[in-house]
Amino acid sequence: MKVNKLKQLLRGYWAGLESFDIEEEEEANLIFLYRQELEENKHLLSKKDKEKLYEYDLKALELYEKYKNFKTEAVDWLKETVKIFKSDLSPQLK
Amino acid sequence: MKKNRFERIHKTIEDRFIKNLEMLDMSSKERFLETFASLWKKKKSFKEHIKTRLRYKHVPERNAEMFYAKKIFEVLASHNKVIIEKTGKVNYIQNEDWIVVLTKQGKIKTAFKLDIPLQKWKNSHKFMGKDEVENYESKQIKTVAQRILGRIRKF
Repeated sequence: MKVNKLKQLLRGYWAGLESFDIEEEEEANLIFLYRQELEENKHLLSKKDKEKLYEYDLKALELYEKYKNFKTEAVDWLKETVKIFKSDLSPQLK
Repeated sequence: MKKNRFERIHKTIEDRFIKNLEMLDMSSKERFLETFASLWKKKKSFKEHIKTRLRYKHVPERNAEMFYAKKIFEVLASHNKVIIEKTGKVNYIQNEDWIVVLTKQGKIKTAFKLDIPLQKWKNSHKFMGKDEVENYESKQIKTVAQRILGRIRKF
């Protein structure tokens, strides 16, 4: 995968999180898909981009903690997104 | 039997959407954009989705609203695949990368560019247990969208 494509995915992941809404399941589905694609190509990310990804993951986790009691499909997608990276975060965040 | 049920859902949604299109005023660009917002699930959704698409850089900053509105009719006018969800939503897909989603009430739920392969998007639906069927193009929507696109092209 090309560097530009990875940057596009990273921007997409951020864009999705910034726009998260518990009633917008299609948009939340995109967050999951971008994060899944980034996970599959994580080894190709630069150090700087890995740091960005970590920062965005924290944002995703924060959103999930805020909305986890709402039973919507968008929150379900957020939960699946968090599952992708949660094992990589420090133990205190688990 | 199952296919008939999905076809009924599809037809109902399209008929409602076409009925909703009567709200459109294409006498000027301003009136068009104002009335186009009424085609969305919530009137404010159009503006919210513009912001989102700008964050993705999927619409240009200049004339973003018009670009997005035209893109939606372009997808509806030239889609090559339709996915109907049992929950009552229809997804129109153009060239495997732009998708327009209509609700049960025949309103626009969202429209987005897919930077991910379409198959992965479909797999994620299966993963979430969505009951849906795939159809080819919808001639009815294509005809109506092409007509509108022709009238708003000048804006």
